[in-house]
Amino acid sequence: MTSASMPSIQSRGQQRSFWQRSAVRRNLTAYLFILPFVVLFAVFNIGPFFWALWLSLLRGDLVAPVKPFVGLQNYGSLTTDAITLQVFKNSIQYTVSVVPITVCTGLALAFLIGNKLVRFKDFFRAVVFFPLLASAAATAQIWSYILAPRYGVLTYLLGLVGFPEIYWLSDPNIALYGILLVEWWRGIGFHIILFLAAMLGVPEELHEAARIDGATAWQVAIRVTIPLMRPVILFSVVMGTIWAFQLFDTVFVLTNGGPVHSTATIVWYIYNHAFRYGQVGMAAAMGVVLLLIIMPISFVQMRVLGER
Amino acid sequence: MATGTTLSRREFLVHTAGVAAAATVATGLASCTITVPAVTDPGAEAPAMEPITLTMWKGPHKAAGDETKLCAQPTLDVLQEMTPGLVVDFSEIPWGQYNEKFTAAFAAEAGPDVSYQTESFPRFVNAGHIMALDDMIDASDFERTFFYERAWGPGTYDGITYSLPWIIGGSNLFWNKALFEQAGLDPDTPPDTLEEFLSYAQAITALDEDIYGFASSPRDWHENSQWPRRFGGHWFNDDLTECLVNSSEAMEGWNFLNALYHEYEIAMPGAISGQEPGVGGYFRDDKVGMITAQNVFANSVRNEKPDFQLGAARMATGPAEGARGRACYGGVGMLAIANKTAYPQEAWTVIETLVTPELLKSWIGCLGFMSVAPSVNFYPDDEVLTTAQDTLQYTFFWPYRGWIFKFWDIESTAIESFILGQRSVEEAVEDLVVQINDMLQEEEGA
Repeated sequence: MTSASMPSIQSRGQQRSFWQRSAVRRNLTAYLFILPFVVLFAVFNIGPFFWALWLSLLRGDLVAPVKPFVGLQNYGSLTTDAITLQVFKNSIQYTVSVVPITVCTGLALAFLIGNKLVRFKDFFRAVVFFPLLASAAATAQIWSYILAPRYGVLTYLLGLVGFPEIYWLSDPNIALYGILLVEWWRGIGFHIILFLAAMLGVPEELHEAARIDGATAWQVAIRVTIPLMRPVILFSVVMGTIWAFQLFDTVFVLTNGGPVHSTATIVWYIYNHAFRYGQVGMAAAMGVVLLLIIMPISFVQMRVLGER
Repeated sequence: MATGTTLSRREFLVHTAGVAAAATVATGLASCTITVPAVTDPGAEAPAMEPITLTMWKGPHKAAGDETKLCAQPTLDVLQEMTPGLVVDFSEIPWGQYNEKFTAAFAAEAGPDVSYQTESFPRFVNAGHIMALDDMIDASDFERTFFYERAWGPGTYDGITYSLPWIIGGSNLFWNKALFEQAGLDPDTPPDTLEEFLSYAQAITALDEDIYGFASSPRDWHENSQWPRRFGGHWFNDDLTECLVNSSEAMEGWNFLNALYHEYEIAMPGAISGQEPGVGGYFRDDKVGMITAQNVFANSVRNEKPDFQLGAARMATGPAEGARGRACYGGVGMLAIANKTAYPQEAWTVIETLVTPELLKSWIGCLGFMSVAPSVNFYPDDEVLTTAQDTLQYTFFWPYRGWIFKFWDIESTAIESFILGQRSVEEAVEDLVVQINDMLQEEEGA
């Protein structure tokens, strides 16, 4: 045996020892179980992400066999395109409006349904969840009739109590709130179900202790129940924010971004660039920017929830 | 020994996980392979009685499923009898998904063998996904003169023909004869000039506070954009490198349209007409006296309200000379063959047969469109639709270019902004021209 071969044997011994000690070997079964998910996640999420990143550096139509490389030009164009700035503004305005409204009303309705005096809780739970099960396009089409100016049900009902005709979807100043109304109706069930589940998880002894100490129902809710629901409320806020930034279907069907781009959102504009304008590079660049907006939010979620 | 065949819990889990992982990887790999239809050797004889199935996609021109049931399938059944051995697998692709489906399919080299194409067609031609047809046309006894000459234009690029005209449609003036009568107008005489159009509309608007002489959706890029033409304006220069729609003539047209809403107030406010039930619905419900709409609208209104007294004619003329004075939207829908089809000759047989008079009438006539062949009249006994066929001479096609959707978005947003009173006409049109010229320059640079 030469001296030169000694380190090699030692190294192999160390490697084997490392392999034998490694977490992968010890948990091989577990890794094999998650492998299907990892493969699918890689194929349908990670792969497309890197492909989109690459596309954002190209110019041309998705159907074109050759797309010239333009570097960061698409990102530069985003800063100068007036409509891009408008869609980012709309998406932010929509998000900061819809999330607090949905979470607050969701909490209020959850407290209402969860109240001991309310009967048929399961029925209400099912009813509030139904809109989420229906197709977004179909519900949007129905809402287009409800919100219509002359024959719309909502216009009629508001007219009965003296409201003037409201152009929910055709007044550029309020159309985004018309969309918000529809999305609130669609999404509120998800938040209510979450909150109801969280409320059930709060130990009853804590409520009783607070009541014995003289707390009113309001004080019990504010000081005991809601603080203990914090992780779920945070989850609700984060998911609501992500979904708000991804708003597309309802806008596409109800207003198609109008009137005068007042309801145009980031994803609506991405869709148009990718499938109608033949500018897939711009679409991908916008997608990457959207990711850069959503990613810190997810990061906050992991950090804040991780602390619990 | 029995113990030799017994698995421990851990071994069972390991085996299960292994099998699941292997199955996932195998499935993933299998899904990555591209299924290529078998290409027949041109020299070899096809197996006897083996039908060839071609896929065909079209956007619907009736309620979902109705076109297949009422028009397409009966036509394709006849086609199958005429061309034994050929089967067409037809799919209605909803308009809302049309662009994304075609884009995804062609990007994956899996586009339909035969497809219905409209203004976005050049995107697929430019990318090499559509087959040139000149050789096939020349090799057959197909007569190009069968179609209106200008119907060939939208499917021809750089002198090469990529499609056969199949559908032609356009807009014309529709009026509600009952409202005309109520307003003291002759129900059988449409306005001939814009002065008459205005005075008729004023008489109808005076009938009631929620009745209007005219209506148009603020985002209707096809109808609203004709006003500059009627006053002598042009949208583009001849080589499509510059937008000219801010010329003095064009501005007269824009200002006239704006005045219908904000000065004469004879047009239903855009905030109302743009929402459900839409311009057609309000017209059907006797709230609007006159509209311009595509001629297939005649069938819709008569189906929904059979006793509706509908008048149809060419649009009232503006100051522009000739056909331009009565300008209306027009368009051609075309039949194209995918470049990657495994059956080019069979696909040609299908599209060549679909444009024969009998099958044109059976499918396109069933939809209520006009005939793309001057020698074929789908509706000889229908006064309204025969009129609509005649008004095709006043229609203007949009340029069939890859940028058309972006152009429509720019155009409709600008027009909508002044109809809804968000901007002045001048501001809106100047902005529109700048955006369109930027777009054209960008295209030229690309």
